[in-house]
Amino acid sequence: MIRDFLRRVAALIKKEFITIWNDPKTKGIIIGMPLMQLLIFSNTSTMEVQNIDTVILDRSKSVESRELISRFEYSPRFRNFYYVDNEADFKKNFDVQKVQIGLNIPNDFSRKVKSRQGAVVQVVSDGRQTNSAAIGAGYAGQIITGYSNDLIGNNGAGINITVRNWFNPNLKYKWYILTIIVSMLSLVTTLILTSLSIARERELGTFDQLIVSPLSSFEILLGKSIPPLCIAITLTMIMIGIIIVFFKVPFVGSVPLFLLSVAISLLAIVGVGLYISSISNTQQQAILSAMTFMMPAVLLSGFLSPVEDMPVFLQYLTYLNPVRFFMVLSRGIFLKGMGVDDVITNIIPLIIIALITLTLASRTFKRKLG
Amino acid sequence: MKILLALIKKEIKQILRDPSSIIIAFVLPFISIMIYMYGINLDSVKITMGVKNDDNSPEVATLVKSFGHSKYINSINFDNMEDIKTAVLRSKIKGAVVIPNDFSTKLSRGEKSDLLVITDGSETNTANYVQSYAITIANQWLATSKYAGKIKRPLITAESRTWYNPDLNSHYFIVPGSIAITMTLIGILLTSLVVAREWERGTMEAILSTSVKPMHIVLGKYIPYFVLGMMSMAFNVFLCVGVFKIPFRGNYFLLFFVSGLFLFTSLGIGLTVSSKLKNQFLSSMVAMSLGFMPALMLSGLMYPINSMPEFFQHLTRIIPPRYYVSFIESEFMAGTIPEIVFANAIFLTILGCLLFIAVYMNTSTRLDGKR
Repeated sequence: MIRDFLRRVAALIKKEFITIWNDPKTKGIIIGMPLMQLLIFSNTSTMEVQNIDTVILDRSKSVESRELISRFEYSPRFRNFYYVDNEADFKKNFDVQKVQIGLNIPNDFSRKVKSRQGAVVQVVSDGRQTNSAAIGAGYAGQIITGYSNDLIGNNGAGINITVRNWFNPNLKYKWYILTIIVSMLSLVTTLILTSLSIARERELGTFDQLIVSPLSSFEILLGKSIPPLCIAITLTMIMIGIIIVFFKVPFVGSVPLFLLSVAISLLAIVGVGLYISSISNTQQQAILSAMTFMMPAVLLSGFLSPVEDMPVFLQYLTYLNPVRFFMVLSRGIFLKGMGVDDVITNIIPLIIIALITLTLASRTFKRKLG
Repeated sequence: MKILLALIKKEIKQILRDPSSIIIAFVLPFISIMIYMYGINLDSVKITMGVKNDDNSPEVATLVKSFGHSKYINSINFDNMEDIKTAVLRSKIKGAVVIPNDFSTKLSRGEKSDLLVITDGSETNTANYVQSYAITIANQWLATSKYAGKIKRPLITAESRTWYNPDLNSHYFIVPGSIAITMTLIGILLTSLVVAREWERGTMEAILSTSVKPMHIVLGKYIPYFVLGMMSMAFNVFLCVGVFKIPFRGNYFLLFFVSGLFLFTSLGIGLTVSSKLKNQFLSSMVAMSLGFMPALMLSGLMYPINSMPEFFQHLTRIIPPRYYVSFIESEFMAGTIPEIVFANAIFLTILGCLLFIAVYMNTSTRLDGKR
């Protein structure tokens, strides 16, 4: 009985692996595309704003203004400087996106600094270029404050802020974004693999053969979910290995807990993918439904803006979102060394999502024939 | 011409009979704009943070209160570091402020006091908010506290101005940017399937057995999806400007003209992939990796291109969304600036034509793949 069961499931798993794995083009694309993206995106996703091009309108032309400008020139974050002598040219440089930051030094600058009255420098930033404008303006503000402090000397009451960034002392954005990129790439691959798997058989007509075979719907479910799950776990582990070895992101958590969380997260995503596939008649419907699920799931996973900042209604909706828990778990265990009890609270929703979606998917295996 | 019209008619019927293409053109844009409007907030994020006060002077108690009163902070008081550690580990708080016991003594002597700010570095984006909120609140408190007289006024202050978006509303650039993402999706994902589908199902053989020329097949695919894409574009613009009142300072004719050029390049990517691979699974995988993900990550929408390593800055030059994002943000927020419209339109035209040639070259009229 059990042996027959295993034999049947093994046969289906073998068949699934053959369709995915035996074609070198398919193999290359499934493994190659995510790895290529990991290498590119890990280099390009940065919030450490650099190479800022600046336009300077110096009406003061004094020792003080030149000293201030030279501090900008020596800062590694600023790249090219364009000097203009009127407002129109100043604005022109912004309009054509030649610069991101502008400094406007008024002609009474030197007089007001010398007379200790307090001078004002205008820092203009380009609001079209996302929040990098605000970050750039922040750097400019720091340079100006630094110069001001050097001029008055360091006495008087004030607050010295010491910042300690736990789990990421230098607040490297890369550590944060790499765990997210890995989760996103596994999500995309798993979802495409699974959402197309039944839809393709249905479109090509081979699904009917599968249904009239001696396989029960539970056996079909196992055969359809194990191969993509194995491929997705392997792919995720390769990517995790790359970010540990090549990008030197420290892994501080427990390896077994991490493996368990990745496996269950991916299982929940396999469930969603198979459910989508089971309700789709064509591959087009499947891939477009998968996208309709993925866009909101990624956007509301908390990586762009925190879940607790969303409207209450959307916060409740994120409890249905496997990507949210996947990201909390992978980042939490990887960077923070999350403990067993926290891992369990985040795994339970994933198990529920997996159970519901897989049950729904397997029910349609029976119903859909005829 | 008759042949072309027949092919277009066939394609339109296929689009209309499968509701999923209509869903991706109209329902998905609606969902994504709703999410960008209500779910994503990049300017003034509300966070939960802890406060631990070791200084029991009444003046410092008002500092603790001002953390509680800030509308951006949900503050929780802590008594020991261990509890803070657990709370950060469990992501209950995104960070904490620790006020040392000599805080007020030092201020009253006219010295600098220390303030420790702890952040959860594993969430780098919110860690930055924790830092800047803590610094702003502490300095505001100091300026109105009884120690205010002991502060030395700064000699030079920076006055910040943000042009094109003086309200600093991040939705003003995110929502137009989301149009670029939707247009990429329609252009690339939908078309990556259409040629491969014909090969997979064998219907391509039926088409090839007639007297169609490659150009007929190519145009027969481009035109219907171009029309669908432009309808979706119009719907997107209506949602942005008409429903959600995102300010539009540009010119509608130019907006649709350049969007048309962009759609032309996206269709080119999708159709090249589709006619090259002749397999829906592979095409959709490649279309996602070469089309959709770069549009999100490399177009300048999420990460500034200027800050990327030099090699990757050059790499973005071959990505059509880069030009479109630059154009659409500028057109919405700054109005028509001829240099920007012209430069981006030229690049899109060149890329679009190259891709059109690639599609044409990959369209075979024989089953064995030869031309």
